[in-house]
Amino acid sequence: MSRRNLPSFRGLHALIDHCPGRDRTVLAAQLEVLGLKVTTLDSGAAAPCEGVDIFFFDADAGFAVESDEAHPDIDVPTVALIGSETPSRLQAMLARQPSAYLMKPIRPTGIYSSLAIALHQFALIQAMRRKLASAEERLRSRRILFSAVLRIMNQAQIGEAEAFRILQRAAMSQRVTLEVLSARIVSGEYPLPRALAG
Amino acid sequence: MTVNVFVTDKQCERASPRQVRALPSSLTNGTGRGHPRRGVGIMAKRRRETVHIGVLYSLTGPYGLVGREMLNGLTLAVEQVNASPEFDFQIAPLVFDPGGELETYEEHCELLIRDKAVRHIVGCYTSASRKQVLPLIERYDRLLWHSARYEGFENSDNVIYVGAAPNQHIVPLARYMIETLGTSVYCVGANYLWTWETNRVLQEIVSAAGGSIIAKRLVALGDTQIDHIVREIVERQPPIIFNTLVGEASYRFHRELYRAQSQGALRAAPRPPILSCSLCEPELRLIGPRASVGHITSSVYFSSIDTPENRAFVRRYREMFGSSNLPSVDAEASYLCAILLARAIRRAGTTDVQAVRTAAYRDELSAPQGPVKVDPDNNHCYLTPRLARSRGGFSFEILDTAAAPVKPDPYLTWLDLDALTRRARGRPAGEARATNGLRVVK
Repeated sequence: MSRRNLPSFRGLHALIDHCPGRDRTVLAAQLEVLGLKVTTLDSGAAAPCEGVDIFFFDADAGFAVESDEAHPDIDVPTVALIGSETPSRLQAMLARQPSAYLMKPIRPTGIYSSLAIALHQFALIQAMRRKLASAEERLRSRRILFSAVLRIMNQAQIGEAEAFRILQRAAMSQRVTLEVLSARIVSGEYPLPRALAG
Repeated sequence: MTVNVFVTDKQCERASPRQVRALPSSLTNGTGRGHPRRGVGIMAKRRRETVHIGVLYSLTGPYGLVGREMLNGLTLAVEQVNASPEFDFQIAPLVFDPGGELETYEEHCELLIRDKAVRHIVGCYTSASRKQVLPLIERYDRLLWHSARYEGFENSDNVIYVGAAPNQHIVPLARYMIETLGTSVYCVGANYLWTWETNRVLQEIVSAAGGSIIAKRLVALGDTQIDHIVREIVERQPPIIFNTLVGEASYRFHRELYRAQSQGALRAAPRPPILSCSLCEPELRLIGPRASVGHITSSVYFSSIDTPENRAFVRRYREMFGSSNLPSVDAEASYLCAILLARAIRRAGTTDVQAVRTAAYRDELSAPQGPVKVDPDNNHCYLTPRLARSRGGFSFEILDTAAAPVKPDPYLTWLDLDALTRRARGRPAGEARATNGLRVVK
């Protein structure tokens, strides 16, 4: 059994966007204890740069963000560092889509958990986003798939179930997805007789 | 009267006391010559047990004016306690002046707790400074007596919040506005937490009433360049202005807007009212005699409250700090902090934090503003919201007073937007009505 079931964050690159002071010092020191490489920058609502694995930002800094003023999509796990719990600040923080948070004053305790939660949540949400994108793609191509099935049904004078099986077989032999083959059939790029022949 | 203020030097490890030099003469000996008389006043009345309390007020720096007001209120309370035979101890305040520097607040708080061994600290004005010392206060289990109104959304066992919570300042103001003035408002303020949060609450209430925020204009804290905002107001002619500017920026804004109106640049006659939750008596003087008139403030205290308790408070304040001075809401609140603290220590028979907190929950004070008590549910106070209009002589005419002290609601959990805006929504456009649930005090 693997001894490394517990997550290790050694080697990850953390970016901390927070004004200098004890909170930033404690956070940076603890992240280094956990084996992360740490870069700090003074708070200026910066976006995470290239090569950053996890991004800590100051939820107290910067302008109040209006609800309709969303931040650009951030494609790394983020951790919000929260001082004020007023709704105006929380709203601005949520617009940056944090995966986890830490309450100020920052203590060494809790940083490890926030890393674990942030990376886990981010991976989960990324997986769900991919799944959702593919489901949406499939949904969009359903109409095309039905058109292709209908064409096969008409041409071969067969029922829907058999037409679908023919399409499936053809897709397998062509090594393409049902949606891609359907699009080729509907556009006339792939002649029906060959599809019928499988 | 002598007040020792502790300052720390970067080169010195320990704090050393100095006597107040930068304070107005009113705080030292009231003669205008500014030479404090050593040994006279709070420290030398009788031989009784001495209770040291910490005081963390910025008497210098960007909001030194308020700090000095708060120290005045506290000094008055200490004097009163120490002169009263009802207390078998006397209070010795150890006053530290962090000068508005956040890190110095922390440094001074730690000195008070570790070197001076105080269990109770009266102090802080900005939320940033409170958040800076709160971890220390909680870690050492001390009690912070906080006098400033603030934006809410906090609830620490180790703080007694004597200043107004949002349901006691911005909510009554917003309600007054939508019921009597209108639902279209222009917001101007310093770019910091207080503005963000009060604007948010105002926006929520105004939207529920079917109105809108015309614009939100923010300037950096400490920036006094407000001419472009005055120009925009002249151009857009908003019917109401909500102001959360701080210090000189606010005073300049009032003066510049007054100048614009004097030159006939504003159509509205009189000027669009400037609403705030912070404009107070000493600030009216700084704005100037004409420009300071006609603005509406929501506050739990005005020096013009006509009750025997307040008349006595104002009289004592003027005797101590000069006859031209009127106490502000901050002076009254810090006065209340020290009085509540002294009474709780007397009731508990100890300065132990847990015992004092429990004793404070059982107290009810006839304060200058009316009955005040600490709510054990959230450590904030029952206070009496009022609305007033500034008038000549640098004072306020009270327009409305809540019928009874209002239970604090720091998280606005019980805010009922529907009930709050019902009258405003039912009102034909442009028609103004008297407020509901508030009685007019002459």
